[in-house]
Amino acid sequence: MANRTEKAAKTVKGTNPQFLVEKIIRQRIYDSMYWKEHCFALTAELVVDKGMDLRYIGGIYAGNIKPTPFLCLALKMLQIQPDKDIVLEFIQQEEFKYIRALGAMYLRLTFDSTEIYKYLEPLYNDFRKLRYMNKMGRFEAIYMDDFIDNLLREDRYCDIQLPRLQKRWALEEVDMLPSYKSLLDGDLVAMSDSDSEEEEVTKKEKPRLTSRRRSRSRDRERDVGDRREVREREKLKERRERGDDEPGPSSSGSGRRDDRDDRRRDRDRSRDRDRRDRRDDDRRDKKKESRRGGADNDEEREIAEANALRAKLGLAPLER
Amino acid sequence: MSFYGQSGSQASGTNHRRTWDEKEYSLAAQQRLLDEKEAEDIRLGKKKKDEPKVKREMLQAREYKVDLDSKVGKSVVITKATPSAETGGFYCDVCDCVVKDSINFLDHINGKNHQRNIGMSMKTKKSTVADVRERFKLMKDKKEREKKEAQVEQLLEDVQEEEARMADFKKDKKTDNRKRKRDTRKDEEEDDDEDDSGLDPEIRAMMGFSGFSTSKR
Repeated sequence: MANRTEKAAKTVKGTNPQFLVEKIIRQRIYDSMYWKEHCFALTAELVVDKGMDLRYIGGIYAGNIKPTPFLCLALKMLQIQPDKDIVLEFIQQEEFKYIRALGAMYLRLTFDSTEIYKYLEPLYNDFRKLRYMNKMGRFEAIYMDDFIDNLLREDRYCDIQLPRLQKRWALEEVDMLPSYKSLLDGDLVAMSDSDSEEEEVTKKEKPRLTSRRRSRSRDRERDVGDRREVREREKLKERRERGDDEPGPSSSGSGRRDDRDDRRRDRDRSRDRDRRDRRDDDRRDKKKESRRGGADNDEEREIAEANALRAKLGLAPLER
Repeated sequence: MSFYGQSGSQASGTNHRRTWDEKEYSLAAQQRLLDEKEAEDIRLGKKKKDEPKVKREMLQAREYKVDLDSKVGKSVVITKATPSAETGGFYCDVCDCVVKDSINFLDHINGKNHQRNIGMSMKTKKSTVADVRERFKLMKDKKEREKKEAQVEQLLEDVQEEEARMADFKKDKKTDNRKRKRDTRKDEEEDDDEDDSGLDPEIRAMMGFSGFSTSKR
């Protein structure tokens, strides 16, 4: 008895308006605690109270068992069949966004195609966030215009099979609807027409160019640093040659010690080079440095081996 | 005179037999026939009762929240003498019945019989646009009022915190004063000790005390 449609209600799509919600989902709604406790004997003005307490929109969740309060209130509106003016009042008020969503859902279910496009398309300009509860019982953030777009495009939304909607171009061809215009189109046209805006655009481009130049100068500084490092390495090599000449002919023991020191230094240098390679982010620089490092390592190893052999034979080390 | 010997017009003839008013009794018979016919029609549903209709109010939504959770986790002792209203489950005092679980209790209070016993019909009032607009304004004002109340409550909390701080500050001052008083008392006690220690040497000589030392060393 409490679930009976109002007697004065007119048929929607030729049948009981509550049948727009499918049988199984409707039964779940009738059995839910929210429907029994809060939705009993509501009138349109009391739906405003319950709509104000809504915190999210959605359909069935948790394995198609529990309906959301939004779905219960939508079915209650189908039951009590409020007047057209009341539904438009729901949509045109701006204070409560979930009441607007509820009115939009009811309007999509019960009005005809021309009126749906006429009254829902202005809501594309509403960018407020809504919480949508998905099948898993978790919340997703969508926007009001996204919600309206889903109502106009989707066949099934919030677990309600939406009635078939005639295509907009078909209605435009028979002159039942004007062609679509959005606020964004107006903004774009205004931007392209005026000349002063073009000057502003050119002014805006200048700081971008300066930022690019700055980035280039930074790259140049990096190159300079690399060149300095190369020069320092050459100086170090010269010093090594001078050091090798002095103790060479005196005794073999000192020669061995020098060789060991060279080996240790090589290891330390290789470690430093690895660190530098890791630090560098540019791939090209990595490749170049790795090549250079390899060549230097090979030459020094050959020189060290040759000097070791010559030391054993009692000969002087090689000069470059 | 004998009992049977009547005087006057009665005694003259043989008019002692009971007479019947045929007109009256025929009318009564017709009335009974009509009543039976009407009862038959009512039983078959052809005709409605003549009782005045009870005017029931339009169905209204509940303004209170149904109490379903207050007894969760509680134990109640039930005896033979326990009245039916206090046995387990949910009791409806309007219909004098006990329902064992919350879902069926909600079904009961939403049902037709309960609403009839309350005196309401199952038809809801049709709202108008003006009602909805007034409701929107009412909700907006309510929202603003709640915001203002929240602000006022926060201000009151801040004021209470300030008062608590002032009270703590005053208590600290009082404790400092008490400490000073204790210090002065200690000084007085020391003076007394000095007076006691300083005996008059003349009195000592009279009493025979030359000192507090012994002869053994």
